[in-house]
Amino acid sequence: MTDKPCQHDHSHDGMLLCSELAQFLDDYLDGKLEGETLEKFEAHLKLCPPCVQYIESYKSTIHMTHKALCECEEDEAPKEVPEALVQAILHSCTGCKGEED
Amino acid sequence: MKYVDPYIPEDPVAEEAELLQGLREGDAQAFEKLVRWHFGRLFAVANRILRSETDAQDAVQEAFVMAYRAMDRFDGRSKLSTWLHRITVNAALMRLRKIKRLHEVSVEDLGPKFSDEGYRRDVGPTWKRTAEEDTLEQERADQVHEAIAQLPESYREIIMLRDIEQLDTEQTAKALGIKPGAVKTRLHRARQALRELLDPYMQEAGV
Repeated sequence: MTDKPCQHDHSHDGMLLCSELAQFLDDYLDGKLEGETLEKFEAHLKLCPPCVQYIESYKSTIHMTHKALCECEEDEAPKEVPEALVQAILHSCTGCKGEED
Repeated sequence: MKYVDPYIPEDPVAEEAELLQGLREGDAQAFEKLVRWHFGRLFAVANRILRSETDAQDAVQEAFVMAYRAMDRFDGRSKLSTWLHRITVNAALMRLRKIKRLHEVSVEDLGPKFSDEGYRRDVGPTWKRTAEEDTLEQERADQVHEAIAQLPESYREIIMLRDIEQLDTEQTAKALGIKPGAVKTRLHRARQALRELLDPYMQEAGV
């Protein structure tokens, strides 16, 4: 648990609660949040280290997920193809076509 | 095992269009060309996740079979190679789940935690590693792959459509047959769940 809690008084009307940030978070990160909602979002962050810290870890999660799924160096690909495996794939697909028919 | 040269077309864009037409007409030679062309790259994708050549070969074989069966449903919204990449990642992640005996998580149980007054109660020590790092080292990539593999299919799928196929909210909604608002909600829950799953490791990694 962080030792610097949100400094907003959540009983104050008009302020975004920590629990209300989530619905705007992805739009905020995509740069699609505008106007009063953006102002309220950023005003909350100025006084809420836990939410700032949460958003940083959320951004890191997005970044790491993208890298983990998309990174593939061409030089990691084998230069040759195992013929037996190609034949096994073709055989499997011929088989599954037969099953469908 | 006998190894042969891959199929490398001179004009990949034109070749992909021609292959796609052949595949939709059930041309077996078109499928064979597709396998020989993309096997190497897809093997590298699967091997990066599974860290085992044997398992990676099995995952690629599964992926090609799945792609063959689903060819009628390929709508051309992304490149054929990108679509194959997503199918291969999914096959590799499912194999990883089996090998590591990972259990599917409940996304609802991994939601954010707040007090009754709406104060955040789910942030622990700061993650020392930041989003600016360009590449993932092996251990961290393994952690991320295992976390994604634990997501229920509908959440895993939405992450892959956005990250691999680069579909926007509207395109994802169309692909899944759900409303854009539902795409946003599901994507956020998936990312939130991944954050929670990675949190213990990322705190430890920062020490």
